[in-house]
Amino acid sequence: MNGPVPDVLIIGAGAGGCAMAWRLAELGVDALVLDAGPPFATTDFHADVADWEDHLFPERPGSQGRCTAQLDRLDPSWDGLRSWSRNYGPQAPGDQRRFAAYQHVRGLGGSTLHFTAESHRLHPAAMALRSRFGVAVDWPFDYAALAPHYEAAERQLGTAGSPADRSRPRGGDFPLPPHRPSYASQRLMAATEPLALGWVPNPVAIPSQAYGGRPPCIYCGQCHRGCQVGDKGSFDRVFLAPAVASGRCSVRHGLRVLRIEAEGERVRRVVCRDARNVDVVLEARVVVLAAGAIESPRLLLNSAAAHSPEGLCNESGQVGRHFMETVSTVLSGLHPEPLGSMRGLPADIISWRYNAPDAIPGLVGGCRFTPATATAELAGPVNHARRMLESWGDALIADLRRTYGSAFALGAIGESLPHDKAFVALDATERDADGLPLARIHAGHEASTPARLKFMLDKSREILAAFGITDIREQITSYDLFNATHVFGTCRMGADPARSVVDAGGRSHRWPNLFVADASVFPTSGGGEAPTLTIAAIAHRSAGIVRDALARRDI
Amino acid sequence: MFRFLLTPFSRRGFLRDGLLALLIGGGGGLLWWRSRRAGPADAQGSLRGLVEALLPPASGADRVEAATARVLASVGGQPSEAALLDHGLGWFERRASERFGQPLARLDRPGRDALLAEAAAEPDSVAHACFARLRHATLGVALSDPAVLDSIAYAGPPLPAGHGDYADAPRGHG
Repeated sequence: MNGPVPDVLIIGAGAGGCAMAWRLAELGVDALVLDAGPPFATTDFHADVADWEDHLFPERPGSQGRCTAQLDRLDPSWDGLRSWSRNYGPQAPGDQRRFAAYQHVRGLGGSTLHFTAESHRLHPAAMALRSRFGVAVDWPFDYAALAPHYEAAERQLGTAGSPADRSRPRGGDFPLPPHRPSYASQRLMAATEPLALGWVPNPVAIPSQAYGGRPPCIYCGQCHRGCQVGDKGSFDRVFLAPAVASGRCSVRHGLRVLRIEAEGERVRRVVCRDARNVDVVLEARVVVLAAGAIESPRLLLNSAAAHSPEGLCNESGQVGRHFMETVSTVLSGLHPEPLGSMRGLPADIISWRYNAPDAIPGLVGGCRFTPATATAELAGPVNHARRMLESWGDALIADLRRTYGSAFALGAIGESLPHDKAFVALDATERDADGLPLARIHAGHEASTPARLKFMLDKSREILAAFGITDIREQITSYDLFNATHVFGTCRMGADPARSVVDAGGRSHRWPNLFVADASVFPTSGGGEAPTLTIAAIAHRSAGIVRDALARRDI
Repeated sequence: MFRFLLTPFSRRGFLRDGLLALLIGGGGGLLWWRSRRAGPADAQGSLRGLVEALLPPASGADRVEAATARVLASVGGQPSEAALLDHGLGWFERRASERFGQPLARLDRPGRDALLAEAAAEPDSVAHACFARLRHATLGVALSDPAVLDSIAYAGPPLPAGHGDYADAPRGHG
């Protein structure tokens, strides 16, 4: 064994792990946080160099996990949903859905290092799809049970939002006032007023004024490249750093967890391998798994043993089931007037008009709309020229002079309902450097998904037309491209041990000292809300349950 | 949050391209590429001629070389991309001969522009795919020229200044 035994060992320093560590520290519980990836610093990011467009979020040794995918054949009747670019043609030629990427970061802070800091609460009705709409399942608790944990997470993150945003029940105002919409968004809001979209400032974990030692945002628009200024609420900075500063939390990075071992009625130890390929065995009274909706089920399945031949916590066969992904569309084009659209927050306003589960006519499961120019990589002159213009030579320079700053992208994200054909399993042949099977994503479209995507595209075209953009130059959708940033649902929480992996507190039905605290526990995905704040709220809630269990010595 | 896919070159491709460009350089890359390309045409001159036509006329010879090297780096190690470049340049050569009775390398700028326009107007063709790749790689070099960037009123990278005026109407065009 290596080192003292902590009260709680947290696997994964992403949104769930960092929030869990912070809350445990507040509650006086010692924790050790492990992550396979590296730490990142603001000096790792490069939106300040001449060729900044070629510097996306950096990869560092160990910062990317691998997985494989088995995706659907495409239905020709939905060809209108396919992805294309005026200049580059079809983005997924052929009859098979293309696996582009599972967009994630391994490292301290996890994918919050490259998120755009959207700080969303779920729509209350989206947590009760079975009882209210007859589809999927209900969450094992309601919005009211999560509300105080949302408030705690928002306070720590310094979420900036508008008092006029009545889309969710709130006990009080957001911790910080909203950011002013960018000029481009102001124009969009004015032009689309007849559509009654109800645009509001998007709640974001980006300070509109100095907050908690973080400076205010300077609106470079490049959150997804990593925040060089240090204002964005990435979880390494906002949750993990204060947890470590409290003296209650320590962190080990570059440590790959190979398996979790159980004995008797308890999980006993975690077997890891460090950067020098030396095995490290760690014990803890409680283990919290927070490696995300791909790696968490993979680790449980790779932890199969005599007592758990199908994988740890998998007595019901539910580990890896109910995978949900990012159902999304992005349409891009040129506005006829100058917008200065490279400026401001990446998704500074949001329409929740169609976010409720019953808001899209004829479908259950909603969606939301935001500007997406920066995250569509259209803020810089090179990509603008490559993708929005068709000219070259001197004509290109003239076109750029006339249009740079007029590119505009509108994004939509919708509900991804769980179903039997979407799950994560172990790959039968592909293995990682440690010889362990990779996760294999099986992602078929749920029956209502194409219709939801069609609604999102049709509505996006309507919005853009009202704005003055009718010549769409790119259409990118998740119909034929798997490019998920938000993934959920592979260790579902629920009351019934036969149909879920963990209980309402995130505690394994089988192993009382094993918890899961990441998006894998989501029973449903919500109608396009970014999951990060909900992950933090769930972890915050579960931390209290962990503390109480430790205090009662029933772990 | 949305993550965009840059095609035809992947994100990793950009990193790889940069490294390859450093490793093989323009001349070495051309030799490598020429060595694997059959046919009597002056492939080096043809490629350089198309690249030159894609760049703004005021671009110096160093930018033409840099853009040519970038094109070659982008196909290095990828048989399908190298084959596309082969076939695409073959199309340009044939069309130069048919239209102007000359090898591509000897065409003047208006002639090369005319062929590029033909390729651009043939979607879903090898010619168009080759044109798109050449244009993609070339623009990265064209728009690294400070004189060009000044001419479009580009304010520079997003940082360190940020965009404090983000809520105001833009000055100038952008």
